[in-house]
Amino acid sequence: MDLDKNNQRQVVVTGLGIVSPLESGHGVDAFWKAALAGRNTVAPAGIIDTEPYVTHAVAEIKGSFASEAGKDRLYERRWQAFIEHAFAEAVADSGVALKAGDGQRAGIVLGTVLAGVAAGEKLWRSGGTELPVGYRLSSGATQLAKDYGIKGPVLTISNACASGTDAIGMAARYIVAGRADLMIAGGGDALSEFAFSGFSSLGALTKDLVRPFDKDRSGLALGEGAAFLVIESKTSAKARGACIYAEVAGYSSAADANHMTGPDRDGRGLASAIGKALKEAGLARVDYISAHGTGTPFNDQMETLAIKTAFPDSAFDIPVSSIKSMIGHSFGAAGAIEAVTCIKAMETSSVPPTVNLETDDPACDLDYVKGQAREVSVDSVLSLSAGFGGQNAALVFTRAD
Amino acid sequence: MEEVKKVYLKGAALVNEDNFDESVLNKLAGRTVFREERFLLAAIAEVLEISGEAAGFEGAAAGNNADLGIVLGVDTVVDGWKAGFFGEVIEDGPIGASPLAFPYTSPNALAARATIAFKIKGDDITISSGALSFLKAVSYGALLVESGVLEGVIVGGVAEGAAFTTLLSAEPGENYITEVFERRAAGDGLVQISTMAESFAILRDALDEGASHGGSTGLRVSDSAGNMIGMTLACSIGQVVA
Repeated sequence: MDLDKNNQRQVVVTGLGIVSPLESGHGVDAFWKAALAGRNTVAPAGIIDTEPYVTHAVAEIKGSFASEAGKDRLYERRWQAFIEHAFAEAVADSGVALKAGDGQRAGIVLGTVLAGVAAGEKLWRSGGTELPVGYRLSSGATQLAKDYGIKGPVLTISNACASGTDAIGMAARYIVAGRADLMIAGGGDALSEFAFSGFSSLGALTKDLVRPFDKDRSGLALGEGAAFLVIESKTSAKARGACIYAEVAGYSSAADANHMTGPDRDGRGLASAIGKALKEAGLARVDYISAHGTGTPFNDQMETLAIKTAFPDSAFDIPVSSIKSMIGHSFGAAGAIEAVTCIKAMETSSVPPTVNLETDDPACDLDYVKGQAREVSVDSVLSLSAGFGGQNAALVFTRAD
Repeated sequence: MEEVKKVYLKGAALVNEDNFDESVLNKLAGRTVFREERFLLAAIAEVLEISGEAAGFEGAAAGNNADLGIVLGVDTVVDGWKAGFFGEVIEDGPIGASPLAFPYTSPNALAARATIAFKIKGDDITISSGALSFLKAVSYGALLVESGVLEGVIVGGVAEGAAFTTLLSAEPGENYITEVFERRAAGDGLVQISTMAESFAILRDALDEGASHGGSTGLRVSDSAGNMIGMTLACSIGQVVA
């Protein structure tokens, strides 16, 4: 058995799948090319009617997803389409033969916040009472398990905007504990008027572009998408000759225990999560940080403080960027998309930029990879998420031996 | 199945309309919004007191719960809150969207409220896996303790009209978990449930059975979607606890 420095089962990543506004379902490589190019996808909404609202910008997935079905039907099952597509890509990329027997010791952890809420909207507008099957949070993972012959643990988690990151970390813990040999983990969510109206009521949406860490940042833009990682014990991956992208070296969840919507102003919860994930990985620093970086005033300042607390000697030397500057905030998908970002950064020795960052903020004074991607040697990465209710999660990936 | 390390269950509290004592929440800082939120907070306060851990809100204020985590099962309880929130948007447009109600439409709101009330700062996880959400919360909470991630974790479930909680701990107590597993399966010997509230009674009955007879009790519970969870609970009454 392959064991890590803590004498635990090593967990590795062997498959990636994604759907995001950057590539609209054309695969991880297309996503990565657009991410390194710093392409902005935030624009006036098409899939939802924002006319009654004071803000209109979202990051929407277009292309084939927008034309294969009638607009109304697509709106209701957009979430399912995203998770099915990203899941299929990850499974194909890993080469695992789930239906041919590999599914016996495989499981799923899916993170989502809204799931099929769009189907709920239709019901509530009509005054009906019978919620459609696709509305429920658990429906997506259950259907994927049936479709792929997966016989191990199947979980749906909903940890607000940390859901995708927690899903991957929890899946790794299932493997370390020996409860499964292989897990497909990630997250997905789709745009909806439900979410738009809620975030609008909180005054969290920008009228502008998304400008993480900029002095003039004014809020987030809602996005959508899905991403999955196939992760498995290193022993399992080697036995089937799988291509190994990276090792899942550390993970932690931590609560602020502070406020229902706002983060701890000093970033103590996030710093705690980073510290515990680094300890598990046996690292004192990393080569790249994929920030939560929403573009809201409080998050970006809190996150900067958390990084400084967790890396007292090296915070200013570590490249930090936010892909949300390009694709907005996709809730349950965000952490999973950012995990894919981290792994591609290691694979290609390049980190994506934070776009739209034009005016420096004295309170956000780290190296945010402004404007343009950067070539840099990356052997270890940290992916950060935070969310409503004081959720914090940190994942560490390292280059596999 | 390889035997896993013992994970002790300390206390169990089921709070509903029949036994809810509002005075338990007198020392709670901040307001509550929903009935089930109050039930959950009361159930956690009771379990912390029974277990001898940091005594409810006083202990929280002293930082005694900072190393605890929480894993909560939530299935359909927030659906009504979602419908209520969006109903106002349908009725009044954007101005109908309540910034107070919106955070409670997220399934993690209940666990978040508990972390704030009791200053719980460890792992904070909400599982929404249908009728098995609560038992899956117990399963993952047990994983956290058996693997040494946490010394103690509040696990629970919140259904319409009821909240059930217990504390899983590495420190010895009467009842403990010797085996837990999840898989997709069907067949004989499984108790099929259709709501999460049914699993509260199943776990409580198993704990009562252990307390009255000693020995071990097995659970094999499934939902209509073909997911199942298995667990063996043991009671150390009459035995020497290692």
